Amino acid sequence: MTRSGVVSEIRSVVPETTGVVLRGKQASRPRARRRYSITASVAAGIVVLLWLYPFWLSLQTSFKSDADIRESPFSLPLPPTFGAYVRAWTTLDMPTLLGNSLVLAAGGALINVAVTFPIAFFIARRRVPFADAVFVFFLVGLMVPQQMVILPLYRIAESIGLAGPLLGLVLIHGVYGIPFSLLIFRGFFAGIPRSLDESARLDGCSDTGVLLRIIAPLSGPAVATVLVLQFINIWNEFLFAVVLLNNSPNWPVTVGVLPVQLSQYFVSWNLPAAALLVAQLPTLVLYVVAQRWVVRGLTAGAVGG
Amino acid sequence: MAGSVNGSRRLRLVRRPSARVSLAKRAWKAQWSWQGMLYLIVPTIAYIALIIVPIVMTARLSLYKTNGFKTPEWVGFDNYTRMVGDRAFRKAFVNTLIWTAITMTVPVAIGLVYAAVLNSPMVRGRALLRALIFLPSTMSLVTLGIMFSLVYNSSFGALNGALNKIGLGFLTQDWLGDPNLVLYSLVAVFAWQFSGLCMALFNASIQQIPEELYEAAQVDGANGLQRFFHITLPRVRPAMVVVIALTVVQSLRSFDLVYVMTKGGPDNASALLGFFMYVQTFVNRNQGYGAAIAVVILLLSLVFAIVYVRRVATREAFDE
Amino acid sequence: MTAKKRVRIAALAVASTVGALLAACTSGASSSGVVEINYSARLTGVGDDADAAIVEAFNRKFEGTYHVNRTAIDDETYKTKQITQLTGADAPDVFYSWAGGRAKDIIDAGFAAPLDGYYSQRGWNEELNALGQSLATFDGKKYFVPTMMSSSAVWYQPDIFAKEGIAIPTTIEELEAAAAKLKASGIAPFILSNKEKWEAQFYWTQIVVAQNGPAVYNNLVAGKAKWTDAPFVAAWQKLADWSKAGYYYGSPNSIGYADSTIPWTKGEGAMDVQGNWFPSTLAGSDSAATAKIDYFPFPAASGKQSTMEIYAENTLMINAKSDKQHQDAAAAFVDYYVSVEAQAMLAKGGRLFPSNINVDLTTLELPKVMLKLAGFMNSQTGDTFMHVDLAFTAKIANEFLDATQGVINNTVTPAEAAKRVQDVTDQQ
Repeated sequence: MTRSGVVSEIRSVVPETTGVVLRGKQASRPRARRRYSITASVAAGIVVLLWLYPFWLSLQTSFKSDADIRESPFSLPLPPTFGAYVRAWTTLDMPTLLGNSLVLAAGGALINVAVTFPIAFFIARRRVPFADAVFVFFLVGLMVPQQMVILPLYRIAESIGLAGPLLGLVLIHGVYGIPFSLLIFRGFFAGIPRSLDESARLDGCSDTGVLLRIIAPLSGPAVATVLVLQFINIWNEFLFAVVLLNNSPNWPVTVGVLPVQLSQYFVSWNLPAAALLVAQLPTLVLYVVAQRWVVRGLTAGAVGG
Repeated sequence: MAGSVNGSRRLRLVRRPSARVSLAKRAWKAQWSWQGMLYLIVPTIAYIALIIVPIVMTARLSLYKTNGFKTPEWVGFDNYTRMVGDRAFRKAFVNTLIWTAITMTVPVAIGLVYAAVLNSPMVRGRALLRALIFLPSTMSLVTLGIMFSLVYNSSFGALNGALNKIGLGFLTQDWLGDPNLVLYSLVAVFAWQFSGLCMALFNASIQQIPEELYEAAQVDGANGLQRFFHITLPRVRPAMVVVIALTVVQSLRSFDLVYVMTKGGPDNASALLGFFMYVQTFVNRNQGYGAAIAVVILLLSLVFAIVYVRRVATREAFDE
Repeated sequence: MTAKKRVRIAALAVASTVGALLAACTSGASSSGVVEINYSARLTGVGDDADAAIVEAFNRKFEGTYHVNRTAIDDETYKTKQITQLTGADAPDVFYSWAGGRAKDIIDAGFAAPLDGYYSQRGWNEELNALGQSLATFDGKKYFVPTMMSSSAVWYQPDIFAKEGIAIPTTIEELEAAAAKLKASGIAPFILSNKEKWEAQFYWTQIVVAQNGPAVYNNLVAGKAKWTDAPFVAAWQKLADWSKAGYYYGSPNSIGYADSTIPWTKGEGAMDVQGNWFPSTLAGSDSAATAKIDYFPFPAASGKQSTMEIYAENTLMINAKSDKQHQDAAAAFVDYYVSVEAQAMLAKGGRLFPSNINVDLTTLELPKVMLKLAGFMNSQTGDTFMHVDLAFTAKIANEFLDATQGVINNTVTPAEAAKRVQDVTDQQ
C-alpha cells in the first residue's frame, strides 16, 4: 500500500471536524428538526449577559473618563475615550510585559506539546514498559500545589541557571504542563485505531515514522487544543512568575499589572480597568479564535470522553 | 522496494533472544519500542528534577526550622504539632474546608445547569452562549481579583452602588471588610470563573446523550425538570466525579484571589491554606512551618486525586 | 528514518538545549567594561516616577562607567521577592531595606554590607540627617543609607474644623471631644484605611506615645516590656472604643489606602493619622486639596508633651555578597541618590523629606504645609520612635497588624490582641 493510500484510508475513518474521535454510533447526532423556542433562547441569552455583567462593567469603565465614572458608574461610555488605555500602555510598560507573557506562553506551550506528544503516544500504545504506571506517575503533577514546590524549585532552577532568565521559566512551564497535556493527548490517541499503526509498520515504518507520518497529520485538532489551553494557562499564571523572575524587564503581565492597586494608579478607576483588559486581550482573542478546540479538548481529555 | 531494508532489520530484532527465553516473553518484548523509551528519558528526568524533587525537598524541609538565610535546624514534627495549636492555621484550615465545600457544589451545579440548558435544542445560538460563559476561565485570577475588588468596594464599588440605585440599599454590605462575609465574597469570584470550566467539562457527556431519549420521555409526558433528573443526571455522573475531584484539587491550592483581594484579611478571615502557607514562607520567613503546611495541602489533594486518577487511568475500554 | 538521520537530529537537539542553557547562564554578562548593578526598588504609589527618574539621570551622568538596572514592585510583592532576590542569581547590588527590625533581619542574614567606609569616604557623615544616621547604626556600624526622613501626624481639613468650630486639639481629651462633635455633625472624624493593614499602627503607636511618652514604647521595642502591659492594651482599647463610637469612616478594614482620598476630597472625613506622604497622594487625585490640608502633631495626654514620630525611609542597603567592584558602583549610585540634585527630584515627586541637610526646601515648590512640617521635624529634639511595622521584625509586626485589624472590627479584644503578639514575640 502506498503512503498516500494509507493516509486516505485514515482520513475516511476519522472524522475531521472534531478533535475527539467518538466511538460507535454516537459519531454524530442526526440533525434534529430545529425546535427553537424564542422565549427559551431569549431567556438564556439574558441570563448569560447578566452572568457576564462584571466583565462588561469593567469593559465599560475602561472607556469612560474619570468624571463620567464618578457621576454615573453604570452608564454606557458614549462616546468612548481611550485615555486610560494610552496611560495604561505607557506607565506600566505594557509592550515589555506583553512581550514577556508571549514568550512564556508560546514558548511554554510549544515545548510542552513537543515533549508530551511523543510520550503520550507511546503510553497510549503501551509500547513502553509499565505504561500505565508511567501514566499515573506523570499525573501526580496535576495535584501538586504550586506553593509547595516554589522554593525548592527556585533553588534547583537557580543551580542550573534557569532562574531569572525567561527561558528558565519557559522550560519549567513546559514541564509542569506535561500531566495535563498527557491526559488530553493520550485520550485522543487511544481513539485512533491501532490498525493504522500496524499497516504503517508493515510498510516498514519505525515508531518515530508512525508518529510523524500517521499520527501527527491526524492530530491537528488535539495539538491545537493543547497549545491553546497551555498558552492560556501559562499566560494567566502568577506565582511562579513572581518568584522565579527576579527582575522587572522579564515580568509577564500578571506580575506587571499588580501596581494598579497602588494609589498612584488607583485614583482613577478607568486605568486599572484598561490595564487589566489590555493584559487579558491576547488570551481573549486567542480564545475567540480557537474556542472550538478549547471547549472540546477539555471535555475530551479531562473527562475521558 | 522501500520496505525491505527496514523490514529485515525488524526481523533481526526478534530472532536475537536466546532459545531459552519463552515465546510469550519474546512477543511481549517485541512490543516495546526503544524509540519510545528514548522519547521518555528527557521529559522524565526533567519531570523528576522539577516536580518530584521539589516535593521531596519541601517534605524534608517541613522537619526543620529555618528562615531561609540561616542553616536549617532539625525540629522533627514540631511544625506539625504547632499547626494544631495555631489559631491562624485552624482558621485557614476551616476556611479552606468551607471554600472547598462550596466550590465542589456551586460551580459544579451551575456548570451542569448551563451545560444542560445550553445544549437544549430549544435554545438558539447555543455554541455562542457556551463560549461566552466560558470566557471568565480564560482570564487569570489576578485579573479577576483586581476587577472584583473594584466591584466589592463597600464605599465606591459597583455592587453596593447598583443595590443602592435599584432601591435595595438595605442590602449593601461590607463585602470585603466584614469577617463573616469576606470568604463568601471571594468564593463567589472563584465560582464565577469555575462554572464556565465545569460547563465545558460536562459538555461532551451531555452531548453524547441521544436526543431520542429526551423525545421519548417528552412523549411519555415528562416535563423538563423530570427529563433533567432522570435522563441527564445519571448520564453525567461519571463526569461529575471527575469534575468534583478536579475542583477540589484546585480549591486546595487557591492562592491568587486571596493575595490580590484581601491578603487574608481582615485578621485571617479570608485566609486559605494555600495563602497561609505563602505568608508563613515568604512573609514571616518560617520556611519549615510553611513547608509543613504545604505537605498538609498535598496530602489532602492526594486523597481526592486518587479518585480522579483511578477513574481516568483505568479506562481500559479506551485503548483497544 | 535512517540511523544517520536519527543521530543528526539527536545531536541537533542536544546542541540546541546546551546552547539555550548556556545562553540562559550567561544572560547576565555585561559588556565593554561598564559596571552594571541591579537596583531593587519598592513602589509605594507616591514618587515612584521620581525614583525611576533618578536612575535615568544617574545612568546618563555615568554613561560608560556605570549602569543601573532598576526593578520595581509593589510593597507586598517586594516582601515576597526579597528572599529569592537576595539568595538568587542576578541579586540586587543595592536595594530598599526598611529600617528597624526588618533591616535587622537582613543584617543578621548577612546581606547588608557595613557602610562606614563609604560614609566617610563620600561625605555622608556630614551630609545626612543625624537621626537618620543613628537609625542606620546597628552594633556600632552603619548598614543602610537613609534617603528620606519621614514623619507622621494628624492630617486634617481646616475648613471642616472651621465650619464646626473646632480648635486644634492639644490634648487627647480635646481630640476625642472634637471627634464626638464631628460625629454629631455627620462627618466621620477619622478616615482609617486599613485594608492593607498598615495604617492602624500609626494610630496605635501614636496613642501609646501620647499617653506614656516615647520611652515606654521604645522599651517594648528593645524587648524590655511586654505587649500585655497596661499601656499597650490601653492603646488597643482606645482603638476599639473609637470603633464602637463610630469615629472611623465606613469599615476601615475594607478601605484601601488608595480609596481614602475619595471621602477626603468629598469632605466626608475630617482627619487621618498618616505619614507625611499623604498630601502627595491627595494631590494625585485632587491637586487643589493640598492647598487646603493641614496637620497637627498628635496631641499628648494632658500634662505631657507630644512627640512626633520621625524615622528614616527609602533606606538603601548595599549587598554584602556583591564583589568590591559592584559595591563601589552601588555606592556611587547611592551617593548620587543623596546628592542635592537627586534629593530635589525625589522631594518634588512627593517622597518627603530629603535626608540631605543641604537641600534648600524652599526651592522645591513644596506646599506651605510641608515646609511647616519640615520645620517642626527639625525643631524636635529628644527621643522619637518608629511605628510597629518598622521597629519590629516581620513576624511580630504581621501578628500585630492582623490582631489590630481584629480589634478595629471588634472581633478581637485588646487583651487577646496583646496576648497574640506577645506569644509570637516569645517564640522568636
